[in-house]
Amino acid sequence: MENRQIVSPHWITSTSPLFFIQHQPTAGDVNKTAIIILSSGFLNNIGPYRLNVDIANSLTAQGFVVARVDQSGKGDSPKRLDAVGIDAKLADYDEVFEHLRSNFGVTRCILMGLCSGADDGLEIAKLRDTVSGLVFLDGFSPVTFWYYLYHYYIRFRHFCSWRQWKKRLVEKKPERSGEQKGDIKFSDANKQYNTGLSLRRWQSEENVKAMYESVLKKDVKIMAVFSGSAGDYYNHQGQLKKGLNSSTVGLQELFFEKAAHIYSNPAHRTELVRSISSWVQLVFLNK
Amino acid sequence: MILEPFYFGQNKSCFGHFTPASGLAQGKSVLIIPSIFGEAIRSHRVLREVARTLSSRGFDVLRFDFDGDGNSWSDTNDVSVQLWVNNIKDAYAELVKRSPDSSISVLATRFGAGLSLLTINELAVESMLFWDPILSKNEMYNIFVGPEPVIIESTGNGSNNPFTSTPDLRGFLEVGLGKDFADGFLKLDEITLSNNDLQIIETTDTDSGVQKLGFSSNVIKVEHHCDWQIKDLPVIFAPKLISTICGCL
Repeated sequence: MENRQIVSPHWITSTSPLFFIQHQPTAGDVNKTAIIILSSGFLNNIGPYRLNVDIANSLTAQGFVVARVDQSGKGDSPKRLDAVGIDAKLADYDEVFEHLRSNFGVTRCILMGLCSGADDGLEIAKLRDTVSGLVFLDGFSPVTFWYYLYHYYIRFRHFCSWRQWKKRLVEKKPERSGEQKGDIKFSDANKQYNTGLSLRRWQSEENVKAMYESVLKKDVKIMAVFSGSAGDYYNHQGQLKKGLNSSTVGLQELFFEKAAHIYSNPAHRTELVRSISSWVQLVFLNK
Repeated sequence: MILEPFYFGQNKSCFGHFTPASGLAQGKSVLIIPSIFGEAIRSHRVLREVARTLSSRGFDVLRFDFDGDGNSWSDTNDVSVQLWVNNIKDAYAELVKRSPDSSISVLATRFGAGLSLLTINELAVESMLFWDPILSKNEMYNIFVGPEPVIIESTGNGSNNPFTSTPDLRGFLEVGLGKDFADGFLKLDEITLSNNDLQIIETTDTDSGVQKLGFSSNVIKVEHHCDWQIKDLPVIFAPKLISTICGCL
């Protein structure tokens, strides 16, 4: 795949140093819509299990130029001194988009991100009109009445197994959907590592809905993907659509119930990359 | 601080990040050999800070990603042990080119430490520093298959040397590594530690096994839980570890 693309590292140094890797197709016209993949958590632009690299390779093969960005303070990019919070994220976005616009003539872009990267994408899309698409992996979702109904319905169905709690105490717990060996979400170490270090700033439900609605009103196309690890707030296909009050015509929702948050299983990763590529191709190719 | 990202090696497929000395030049340079896959991602932040600190102290520093991992090219399916060993040689040559008159030290992490020992005799290295090195084949195999129990078939030669046991190949294939890699891995011979300038940093609950090999005086203990055996923990950031590493180089 690499022989059909040029992969090059870049530093933007106009204000604060910002590092990103650019994937550029070698043949044919470059699509006027670019893809910007935001880093997630404290990870760098590679993503968990090279997920961002796989996505970039797949989309570049379709004629898109892709930038995998180390947002300021993450990966190799140092913290910005001229801005913090959402201002820093917007500054990062503006600089990368300007680079892509001046080099490839792109006019619009799709933002992509996992976890905190998804949250950042939604906030940026709300404030920047050049964003025409969003791909969220375990982004925000309102917790609805249907969530709780489903939550207790599952437990009700397993009522019989509740009665066998004594037996279960001595038996090995079956793997829950989305749960994998070594997954941070289910490890004991999670308690120790997940206190105060999280980069996710959970918004109120009203804020989440308002952000989605504002973005959808601007005709931004959204692909929201949720994994089984998002079970704390998302547990069934269609929950996000049900939770939003406005029209969800531009919203595609997918639930990979068996997948872990970081897509550690190669088969889940492959399926995710394929789904994203198909959606981008369907919605944005030749636009 | 200037950081120069570039691709190098025979196919220009290996991604490197050169950090030239920003402080008063010491005439010394450091080659940072990372681990692979999840461990490389988890340790990236520490190694980035080490590179920045060393640069400010006058060292030239080169970091890189192994082929098939990180920002380097090649599919994971196409890599082999020999390719990774060649990556180390290429990175060393690149550092010599960029910092011609300096003496070179090596900082290697985990799996990278084991790999570096396969080639270190061919390189003119002043000193070596390992961070939680993996020096047994069994533990190396654990990187590929995660924390579950490893299936090891004994070769029946009665040796206690972990490098003479044969791991189950399925683990490699499950993480996308091809047969070439598995074959090369099986052919790994015993790794010998003989360099007197070797220092080893061991974090809490980590035992590289070097003490049994008679290198206990070279071990520096650092109080930090890296918990390598848990596959998907977040990025490691330990200022104490960074200062210890920089102090040793």
